[in-house]
Amino acid sequence: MIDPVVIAPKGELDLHAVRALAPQLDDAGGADYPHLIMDLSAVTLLDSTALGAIIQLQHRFNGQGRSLSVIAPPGSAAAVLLELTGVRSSFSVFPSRDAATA
Amino acid sequence: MIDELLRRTHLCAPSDLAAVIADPPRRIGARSVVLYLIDYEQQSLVPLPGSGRGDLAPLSVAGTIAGRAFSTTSVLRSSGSEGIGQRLWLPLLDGTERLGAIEMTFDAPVSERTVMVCERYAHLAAMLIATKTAYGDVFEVARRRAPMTIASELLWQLAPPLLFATDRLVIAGMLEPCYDNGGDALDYAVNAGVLHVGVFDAMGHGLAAAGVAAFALSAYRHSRRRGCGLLETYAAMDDAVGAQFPDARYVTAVFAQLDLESGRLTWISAGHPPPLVIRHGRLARTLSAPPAAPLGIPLQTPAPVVAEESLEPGDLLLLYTDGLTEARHPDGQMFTVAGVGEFIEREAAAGLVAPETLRRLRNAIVDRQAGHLNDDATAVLLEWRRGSEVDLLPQTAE
Repeated sequence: MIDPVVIAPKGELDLHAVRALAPQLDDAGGADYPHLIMDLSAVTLLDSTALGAIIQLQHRFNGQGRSLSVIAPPGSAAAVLLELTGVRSSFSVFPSRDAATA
Repeated sequence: MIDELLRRTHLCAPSDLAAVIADPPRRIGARSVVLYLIDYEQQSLVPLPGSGRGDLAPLSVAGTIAGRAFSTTSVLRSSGSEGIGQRLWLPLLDGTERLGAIEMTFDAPVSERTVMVCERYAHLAAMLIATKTAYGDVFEVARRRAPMTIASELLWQLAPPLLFATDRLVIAGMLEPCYDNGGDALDYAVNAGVLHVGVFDAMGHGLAAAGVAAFALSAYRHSRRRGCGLLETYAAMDDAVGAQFPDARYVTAVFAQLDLESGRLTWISAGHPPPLVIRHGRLARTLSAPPAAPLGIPLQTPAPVVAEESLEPGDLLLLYTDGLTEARHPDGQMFTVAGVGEFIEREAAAGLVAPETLRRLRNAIVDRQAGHLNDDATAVLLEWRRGSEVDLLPQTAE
């Protein structure tokens, strides 16, 4: 089995940080490996552009039949945002990388 | 005097209106009449060109008699220059919307009867300003004390008047930063005993975000005017944003209907912070409901659910965007939902009406010395059956 590729940003994911992360996300969206893990465990803040970038990535993966796992431990900034904005069920969310690869 | 003004306004261009309004009061002894409009930041009253002398400076709302007439919607008197005669300061109210203030200077003391006539005259003047503003830029330009971005230009064009009051209801709005708002919008309408109200926040900032917000707002109005319910309105906005912006751009929104007779409130939160209720003047709590997904995202999402709550007479309801609660104090601390709730509780307990509470909230979060905004901050504060609508009518005070 091919190991999933992991993207694990840290700290505050605001407009500026999302711009910096964009090439990596673009590469991931254009690649052909089957499984990407977006690990948001160490993200302390996500703004609307960050959520938009993750939605965009999920949209591309859906269209390609590839799978995207989002790591958002309970109580983390990412978990709270996904819950509050009503989009949690549109993603495969796991509490840890181990859980995502089990 | 009122007849003469009405007759002369038929062919009056907006830029001539101030001079036309200043003329008829000479017949009742007014030596000069100056119209002041409130600026976008609601901090200064700006004299209109064509009224009074040409060298008048803006007056601060804080600490001036003009400002007090404006912020308390009261008719106030002060003595004329060199102690001769009297000045009247009257609020310029289009209905209840606070456009500014009028200063009328008389050579002799003014009778109560004259004060009453001047109050009606100021009301007519305000309605004429509101009507004529569609035909020229003079009032709009006067209200601007700083350059405005194109995004803000677009969003202000879409914004309804930021204050309305009717039987059982006062509703006030705030859109900040007023010269550089990038993607927030608000709207409301009172139709046959039902208030329709919504707050919208497009992802990102700047002109692109303002465009997305404009699509969502237009779809909202279109649905409302077709008589659609909340679920249909959600679907229409979701389609409008999703079809025009097939990438992941989206809008979060909370939009509600309030039955003004019964207080029944129904709403949908599309990925948006929940509304806040301030009850009995102190207890702030969020109106939690299962959130629906933001509008226009290209993913499979669960069907939205309409939430319901009964307001109690005297309740205040706040709809807002996260830029408000995430605004920073000077020490870098976030305002937070609790902080905003406490602020509104405090101002309401002091007896302030909704527009004045929002004006002070705005000053607290936007004042350059006091704090700064990282994001657009939008709020709608409404008061249901609080009896406060009469406080927005002109008061005669000493």
